[in-house]
Amino acid sequence: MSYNPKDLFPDQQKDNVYIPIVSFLTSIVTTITTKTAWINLLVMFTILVQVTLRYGFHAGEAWVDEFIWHLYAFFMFGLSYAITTDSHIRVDIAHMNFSRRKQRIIEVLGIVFLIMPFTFIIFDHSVGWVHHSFVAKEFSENTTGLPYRWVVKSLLPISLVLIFIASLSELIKNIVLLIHGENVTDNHSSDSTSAIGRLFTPSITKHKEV
Amino acid sequence: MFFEPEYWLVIAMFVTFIALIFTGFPVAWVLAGVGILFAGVGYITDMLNWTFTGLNYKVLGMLHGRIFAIMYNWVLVALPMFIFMGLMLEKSGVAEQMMRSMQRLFGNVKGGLAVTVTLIGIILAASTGIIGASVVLLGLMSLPIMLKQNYDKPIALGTIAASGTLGILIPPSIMLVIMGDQLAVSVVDLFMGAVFPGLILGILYIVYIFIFGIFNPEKVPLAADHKPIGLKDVLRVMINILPPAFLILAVLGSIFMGIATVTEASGIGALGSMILTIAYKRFNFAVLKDVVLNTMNTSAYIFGIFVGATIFALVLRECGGDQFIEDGLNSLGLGPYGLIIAILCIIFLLGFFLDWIEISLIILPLMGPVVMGLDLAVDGFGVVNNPNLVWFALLVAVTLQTSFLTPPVGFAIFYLKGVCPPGIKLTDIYKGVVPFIILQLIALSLVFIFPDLVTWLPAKVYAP
Repeated sequence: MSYNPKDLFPDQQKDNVYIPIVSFLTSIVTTITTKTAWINLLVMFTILVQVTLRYGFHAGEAWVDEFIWHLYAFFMFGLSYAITTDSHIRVDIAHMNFSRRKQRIIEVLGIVFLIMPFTFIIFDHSVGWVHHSFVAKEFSENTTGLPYRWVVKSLLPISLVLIFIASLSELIKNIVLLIHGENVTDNHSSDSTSAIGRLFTPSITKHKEV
Repeated sequence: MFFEPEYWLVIAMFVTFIALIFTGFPVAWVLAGVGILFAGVGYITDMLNWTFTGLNYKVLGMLHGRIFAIMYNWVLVALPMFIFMGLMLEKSGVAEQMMRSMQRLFGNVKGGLAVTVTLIGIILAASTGIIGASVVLLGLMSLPIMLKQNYDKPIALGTIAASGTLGILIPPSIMLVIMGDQLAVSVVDLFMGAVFPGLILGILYIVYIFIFGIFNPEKVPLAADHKPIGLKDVLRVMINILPPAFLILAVLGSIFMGIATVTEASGIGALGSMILTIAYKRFNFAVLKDVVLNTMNTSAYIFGIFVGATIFALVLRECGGDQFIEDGLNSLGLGPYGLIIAILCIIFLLGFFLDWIEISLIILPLMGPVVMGLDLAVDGFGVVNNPNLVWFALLVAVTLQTSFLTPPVGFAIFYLKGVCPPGIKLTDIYKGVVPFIILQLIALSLVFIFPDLVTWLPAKVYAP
């Protein structure tokens, strides 16, 4: 049993629809992030190693410390995962009483005017920053630290791309459902004949998504 | 106070932020988006010569460095580790085990079941620190038993809501880790400072329940099938309480005695929680996967606010927001203690609709410098660094707890309502939490009047 409190609110129902393009985009994000989630276990074991080294052998190494926060920095990937699970904190006092249609319009506007500019601008700046670190062969401030600082720095632009993909997926889903209406049936052969049209056609979820 | 034209931007930023969060769009993205948006607004008003913020596209190039500072942070590594520890302990079934054995032990005392819930709340508190999770777990686990035993609804619900919110105060609490990071004070000091306020609250709850039981015995009845307790029952409680208590004491003890850093202790605590789950035979791959994914998810929504608040704060600072807040608070002319009370009132009100995460990340960094400059008589005994801020952080922590319990929109109330059986009305919960709010206010006043409650323990530990 999972105790995620959000599951217990009937107002926050999940959309039980299947839109091919949305599922594809979401699966890119979840495939990557559900694997990086395991890195926290690695952080745990590395801390254990470090503690053993330091207190057992009095041999604390700077690079072990750095390795721990390098691994921890993967939390940035989680931000996109939390979009796919709709876990980012909302102030839902008013939100709960809005109609489904109004909620979707808010999502669309929010993604276009709040999330997307933020991901674009920071991505734009950070790519140059990572490149600079790569060209300059930036090393740790500690002489016994880890080399290749650009690797951990590159997690930032990559996570922004993931956030962009996850929010794009939400954007398409909400727009499709706004146009299509809330009553999704399984009869999708009627509204589109082209392959691209089918990508955007909702149907009822058959398989439980992970 | 001199009113700069840039201050209009600061006010507009706050107003936009508040207006947008009430649309229900995720707070993290509202913060990030409003920050970026106002960088553009500031650029335009600069061009019109209305303001001199110096905001432009290049200034936004400072942002990735600020976000990287969150990633490059040795202390915050403790956050996902403590979250993992809490979620794992929740799965270990430790709480259910304790519930069963302690219920027997307190079975012969009026209100014993409520005391059991409070004690489990305290132990859960030490492990999780995620209010929603503790309230929901306590509610699912103990509410059916309490109602079956014919407990009066308000007292049962009040106990659960109040015990569940202890989590954000009692160390190791992830809120205190974040507060330490934001106010630039030692997390260890905050952990130690929280020990006495947390204990006082726990004791106040238990004493209240006992007194309530004496005056209203029919509202907190004994179980129909209670048996006299023997040595075996005491032993069983000991056996069930020892493993989690040992884990928590080991984590806190190694931090307090200076053996391990907070980060190291959090990693070991996470490992310990896994070993406990294995020992309780609840461990399997599905559980591990669930905890791992939930850890990422929970960390992600906390760090989402971190990222958003960083962007918001940078642009706010460029507009002179820090100066504005400082001038504004100082111009109230309240004197140091009056000002602290005013800040706590603001935080209490904000706690109605904002979680502790947003408050710790948006409000605290703004208030920190103001509080640091105040002439307060908080005794650091010469060994505690920044005693004013340590004391202030704990006051905020207790205030937030109270705020989460306070109707009409306390967080704990809503989480609890979510797991209540259909027969229970919101007004039952409201009635139940009132006495506990009064107890919290008593604890808050005690901490306010006697700052030594906070600073004494760290001072004793650090004393040569």
